[in-house]
Amino acid sequence: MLDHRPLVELAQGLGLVWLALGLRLGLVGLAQGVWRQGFVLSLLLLALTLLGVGLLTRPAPGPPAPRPHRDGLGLLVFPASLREEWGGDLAEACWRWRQQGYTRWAIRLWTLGWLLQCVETRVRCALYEAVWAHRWKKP
Amino acid sequence: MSRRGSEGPALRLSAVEEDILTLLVGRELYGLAIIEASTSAVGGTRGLRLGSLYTALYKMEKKGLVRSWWGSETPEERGHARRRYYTATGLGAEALTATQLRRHQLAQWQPA
Repeated sequence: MLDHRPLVELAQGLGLVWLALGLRLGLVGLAQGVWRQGFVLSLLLLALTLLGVGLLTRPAPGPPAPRPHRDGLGLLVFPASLREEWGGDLAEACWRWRQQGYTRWAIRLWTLGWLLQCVETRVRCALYEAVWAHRWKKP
Repeated sequence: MSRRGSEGPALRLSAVEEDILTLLVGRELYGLAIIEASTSAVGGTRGLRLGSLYTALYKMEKKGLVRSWWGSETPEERGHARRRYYTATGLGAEALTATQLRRHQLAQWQPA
């Protein structure tokens, strides 16, 4: 079956260009007092025709494509095993700090610092994956 | 076909991965112990950061550089949470040796 999607997209693209051109010329004509009604209206009519053809002949959307499997971690969602591991390490570190006589607010400050480190690393990794690994395409 | 030729890019280690593998070759350590070992080994100046550690370990395990397992003990000081132990795999040790050899070759280079 002949795939006419490129032609439909071309018609829609041309329609948008014509629409923008018609609107701009119309506004410029109004501002300068040189209103060329017939020309602008024909541009707009052509634009709407192209957009209408594009919309009417657009093929029905197929089944949604499966989302690509992402190998990395989610941005803020750690796997359960990692949460247990990190939580256990943090609890042990807090216990040791208490044994060493650190005050409660100091331990909370350290804990907050650790948490911020984890979040900062996750954000950095997510940015790296989004910008570098997914957006950067070889030509 | 040589193994390095087919898996060359995977064997390139980052600085954090190199530090972790250096600690884990021939040892079995859990997260907090890795942090403490890295800090005490360099005189407390600049050890591994906690945020980098878990992400790095997760990715290294995916690459097959380390393997991990849950410890059987549930110490009270950890709120009865288990420890997850890590050690370097054969591939990890091989990657570390290749990286160190590469550094050595770079250091030994003399201009012609």
